Amino acid sequence: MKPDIYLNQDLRQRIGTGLIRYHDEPYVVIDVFQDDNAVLLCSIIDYVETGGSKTETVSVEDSFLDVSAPQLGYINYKNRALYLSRGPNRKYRQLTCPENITIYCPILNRDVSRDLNRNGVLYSYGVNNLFTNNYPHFKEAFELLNSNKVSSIAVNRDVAITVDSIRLMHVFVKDMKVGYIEPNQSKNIRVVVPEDEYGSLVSEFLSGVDWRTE
Amino acid sequence: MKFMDFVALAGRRKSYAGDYGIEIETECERVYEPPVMNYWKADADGSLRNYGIEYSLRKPVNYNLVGDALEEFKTSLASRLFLSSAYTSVHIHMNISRMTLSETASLYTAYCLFEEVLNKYCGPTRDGNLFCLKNSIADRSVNTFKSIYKSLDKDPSEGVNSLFDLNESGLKYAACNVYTLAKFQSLEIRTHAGTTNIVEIQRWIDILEHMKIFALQFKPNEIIKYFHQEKNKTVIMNAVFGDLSDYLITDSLDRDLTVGLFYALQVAKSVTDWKTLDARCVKYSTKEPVEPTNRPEVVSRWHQVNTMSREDSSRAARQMYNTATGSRPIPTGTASPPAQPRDIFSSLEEEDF
Repeated sequence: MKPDIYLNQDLRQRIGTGLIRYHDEPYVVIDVFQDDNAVLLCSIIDYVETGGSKTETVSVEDSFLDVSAPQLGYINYKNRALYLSRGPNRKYRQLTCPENITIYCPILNRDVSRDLNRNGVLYSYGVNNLFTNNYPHFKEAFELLNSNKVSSIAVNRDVAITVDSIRLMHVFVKDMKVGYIEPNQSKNIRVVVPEDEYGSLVSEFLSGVDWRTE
Repeated sequence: MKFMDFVALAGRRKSYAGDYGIEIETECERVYEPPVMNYWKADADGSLRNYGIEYSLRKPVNYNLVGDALEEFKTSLASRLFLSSAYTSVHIHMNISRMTLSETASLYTAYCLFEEVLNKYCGPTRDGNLFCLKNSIADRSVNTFKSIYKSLDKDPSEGVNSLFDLNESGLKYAACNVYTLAKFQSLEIRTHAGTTNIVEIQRWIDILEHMKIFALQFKPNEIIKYFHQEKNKTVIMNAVFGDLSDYLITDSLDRDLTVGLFYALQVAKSVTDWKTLDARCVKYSTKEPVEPTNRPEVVSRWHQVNTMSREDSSRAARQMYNTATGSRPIPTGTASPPAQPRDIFSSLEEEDF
């Protein structure tokens, strides 16, 4: 969505600090200001894991700047999977920011937005990985869970796997548990679902993984 | 049990006949006096620029009268040069007050299923738009709907409470605003971009009507089953939308419907037995006395807010017109009769005389 269809004064209010995309990569807006020619500019900074970062100043009319609300999803954050989504809040700010996200933790099966530092989560490198689609492969995730290194892990934007106290692995599509991984089948991984409808979700969101109904 | 009877359990007895409520937000090159119309009323809207006026139906109309209402809108405002603006949109309220609780859920399930498709139809400026966030971007709306029905399934009184506990500011900007379930007994579809072209508006309502007719034939879980039985998604689209499916089918149809399926499935799974839901709620309502004081503070607050917003809106319209034309302010006071559109926007010529 191009931002240049709004008036400057409204844009300035709408593009406060928050998540924005530039050339399809995630950035954080750190300032919005007008230059001498009344052109609205914003300073953006890229997502970084450690060390230096890349800041840029771009016009809000830049066609590569995308202010529309992105689809969020699972991120891997400090050795656990978290599902981020945005609320349809009646606020004028367009960008996704810590104030308008909710965080669901599959291992606890509840909203943990109030328990975590939302700034830290939204601006973490896990979000960069979400946009660059950088997730561990399903088999790699399976091994990590088996080795007790993590208790939950996201394998793509829509799917996370958790392991419980009896070592049963559960599959979550977004914030819904759709089934569990058949135990003792390390070669042919198969998800056991309660009904066919859940199986089709596995097929769609976890392509290449087999499923059967219980 | 009809939705209107359900909300009556919380003391809300007002309901509306008719199928659709329509809100058309407009912006214009210059200030003008909105005409007095039978179907439509005009209000100022703070979110609009360029002499923005929101036209909304005075009350919902039946589907077969939508054309008449739109024709009146067109002929009455034919001489106005409306601007194409990113600030405007068209909101459709699908009246559910006469539907049963399970029919309402079927309609919402169908909406969830087709949401991505409908969103694409409305164009790229509406995708990810702050004012109409779809479920795949902001899923609170579907989670709220699901939790209302979950609590309803458990205990109807809990269902009533959860409906009237909804927070408008946390739900308002969803593509399908479920807060209006409590406020107007409607589902507000906010996805369509701003337009004053009545052909486009009529087509959008036709699309929603097709979806409604399809939805009301099934229970929510049956919609999911139907979806699974038919592997060819184009066949589903043709069956639901008829000729209008030409406007809706895209290359990413399979993917869009699967994304929708996830949310539709969540709604369908929120109740253990859809076939008995309405009967269970009727049983509850006849067992328990109607309690208008069930949540008095919530209900009275709702009335206050609703009345206030109308007054504020009229006042804003009056001020805007006075500022733009330089005419003297029209006195307001408790003794004044309620302002009619003609009074609010009285023209300069009339004032001079």
